[in-house]
Amino acid sequence: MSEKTKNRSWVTKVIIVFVAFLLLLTFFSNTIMNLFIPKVVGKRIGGGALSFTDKATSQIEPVTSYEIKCAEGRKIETVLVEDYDQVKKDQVLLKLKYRSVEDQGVLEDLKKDLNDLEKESYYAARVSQAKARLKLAKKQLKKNKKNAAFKTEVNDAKASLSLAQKMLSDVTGFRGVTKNRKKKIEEVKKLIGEMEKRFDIEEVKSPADGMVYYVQAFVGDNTNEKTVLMVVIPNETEYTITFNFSSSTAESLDPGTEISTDSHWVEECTVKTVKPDPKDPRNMKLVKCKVKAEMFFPGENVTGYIGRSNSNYDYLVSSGAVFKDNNGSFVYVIDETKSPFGNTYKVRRVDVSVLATDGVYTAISGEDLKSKIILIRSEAALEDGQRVRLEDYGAK
Amino acid sequence: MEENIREERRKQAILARHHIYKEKVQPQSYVSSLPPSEREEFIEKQRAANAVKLRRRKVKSSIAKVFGVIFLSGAAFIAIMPIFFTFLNSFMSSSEIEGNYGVVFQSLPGSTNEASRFIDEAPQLQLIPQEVSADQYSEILLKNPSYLFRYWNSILLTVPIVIGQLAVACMASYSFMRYRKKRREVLFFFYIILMLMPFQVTLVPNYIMNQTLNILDTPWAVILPGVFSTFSVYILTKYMRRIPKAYIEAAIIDGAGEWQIFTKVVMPNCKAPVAAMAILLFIDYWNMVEQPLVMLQDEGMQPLSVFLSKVNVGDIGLAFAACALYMIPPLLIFLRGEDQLVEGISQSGIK
Repeated sequence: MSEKTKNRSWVTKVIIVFVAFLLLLTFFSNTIMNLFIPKVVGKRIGGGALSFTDKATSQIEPVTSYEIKCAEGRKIETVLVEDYDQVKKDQVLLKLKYRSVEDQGVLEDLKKDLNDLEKESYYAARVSQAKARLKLAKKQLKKNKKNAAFKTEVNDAKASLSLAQKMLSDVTGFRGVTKNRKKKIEEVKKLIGEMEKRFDIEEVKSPADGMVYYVQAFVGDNTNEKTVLMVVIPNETEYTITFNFSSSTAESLDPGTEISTDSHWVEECTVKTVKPDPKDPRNMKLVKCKVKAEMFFPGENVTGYIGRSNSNYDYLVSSGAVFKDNNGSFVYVIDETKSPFGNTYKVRRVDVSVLATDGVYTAISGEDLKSKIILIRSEAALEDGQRVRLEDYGAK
Repeated sequence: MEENIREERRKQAILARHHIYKEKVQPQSYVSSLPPSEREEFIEKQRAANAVKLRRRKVKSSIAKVFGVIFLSGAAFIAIMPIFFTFLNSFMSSSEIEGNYGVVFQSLPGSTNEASRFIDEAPQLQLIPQEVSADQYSEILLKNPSYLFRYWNSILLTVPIVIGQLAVACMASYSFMRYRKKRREVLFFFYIILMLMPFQVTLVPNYIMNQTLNILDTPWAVILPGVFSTFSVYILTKYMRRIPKAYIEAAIIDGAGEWQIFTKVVMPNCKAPVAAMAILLFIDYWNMVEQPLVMLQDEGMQPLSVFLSKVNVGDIGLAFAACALYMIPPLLIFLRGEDQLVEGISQSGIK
């Protein structure tokens, strides 16, 4: 009784801290768990028939069309048509601005250059003529030195040569003597001709009756020889669509086979040719189809469907549940473990082979997946063996 | 014979009072009858013999002591080993535990393999983890809210039971101590009978009673039978009856009422046994399994003790951490009240 009792107040403090810690941890327990364990959606796997339809999307293209381009350096004043407008032959499609002050200046500079070049040519010819005259006069004076007339001729020829040389030097004083003068003159003349011709164009007209498509001309744009301003599709042209189908799908297609499409306007889409895709000739085929339609809208995306026979598969999963990486296709199986603290779920990677797909569902084969839960969707990237919680985990 | 001795003593006392000392004639023994030389020799011989006996006794007691120490150390080691084992193994990673002990758990029915099988290889008992890891704790505390909820279930069932039972027991014991009439003694006898009955015997009546009160599947179904348990009433009554009546009579003379006697005289004298009872009750009810298992059908309301038996099902990697955490509250309560427990046990004679 008289024994000294130990000081146990530290134990009381530890108990208080422990209970407080436990309270805090419990309060935030669900929050912490949600941070650590990603939420997923799973579905029990089942079998069934898959009516897989292969589809491909492409654009309607005309067989013949006119690309409308314009001479270089003109400014568009007005665009008179829009996409899919019907136009007649020679109908004005767009108007160009009259030559601008800058354009006129360039042209006048070129003309001045031409004038200078022509003067230079003229005086150069006169210099050569004067040289020839002087040479002849000197020759004659050499034979008959006492003849005063020859002396006068030489002097005149010299005077003529110096005048011609002066005139030539006046003309070429700033830029030096031009080489290949004739060629240069021809070039400048041609350029001036082209420019004048170009500057004379004020309108761009339709080459045929048809539909305007791909209008890329906008008011204020400068024209370029290579730029297509719009396309005019003649009325009598045919239209085609080229679909890119897998080789296995294209096996069932022959010229003349009809393909169903999702376009309201397309009345008939018939296979014209089946050719290997140059990008992947083994696995893909280019299926070119002739299209008949009430109305054509070139550039419209049309999806073509090729239905294939139904087959029964043991395992059908949502297409979103099949993942791919360097090792191939795989799905995540959600393994359920019953524990005293409730059911726990872990994902397990299972490599599978994709047998067929219709876009929504995919038929797979692999290990025995009967009555397993397959992961459909996850809120975070997963790893093999990671613990997850099902969407209705809280309710459990 | 006793009368003669008493008479002799009386006479000696009378003589002593009169300062008369009469030498008592000593009876002659074998040693005193011997001549002095032989007596010396005899005494020497006896002394030597006694020395040998003493030495033998010493050796024997030393050997007994050594064996005793070895035995007790072994017993202590066996007792403390599982606790060490649990704490140290709780720092192993789940994969290490599965590698070491997976074979044991897989052999049990209801394992992850969903079938029993013979143990064809021995489990590897390891105290020291290959790689110390807090994975088990983080898994159980951060990713298993249900563990914490059940922890609170245990606390919320145990604490009210302990407080309630002590309150009821203190007052009941006081009444048994104060008024010892025949009818009350009979009632007390029934208390003892109830205390001696195994829990399983009263389980069915308790269940029926709970059903009648419509409190089945609620915490009250566990708390109420616990509050009115008889064990602490018996112990406290036995202790209170040892409090001197003079204390109570003095208090009555001073004008104290029953409540004042109870609170100011009796309870201050009962601090140690009440504390001891609180510790024992806490440990007892912290570990209860049958009551919640029978009375609470909803697994979400059951305490942690019920789940510890199944904690290795599914993920064996959490078992050690779950057990280690489970041990903390009783350990803290014991450490806090260790002195009172020893004192209370020694005073009230609790076994």
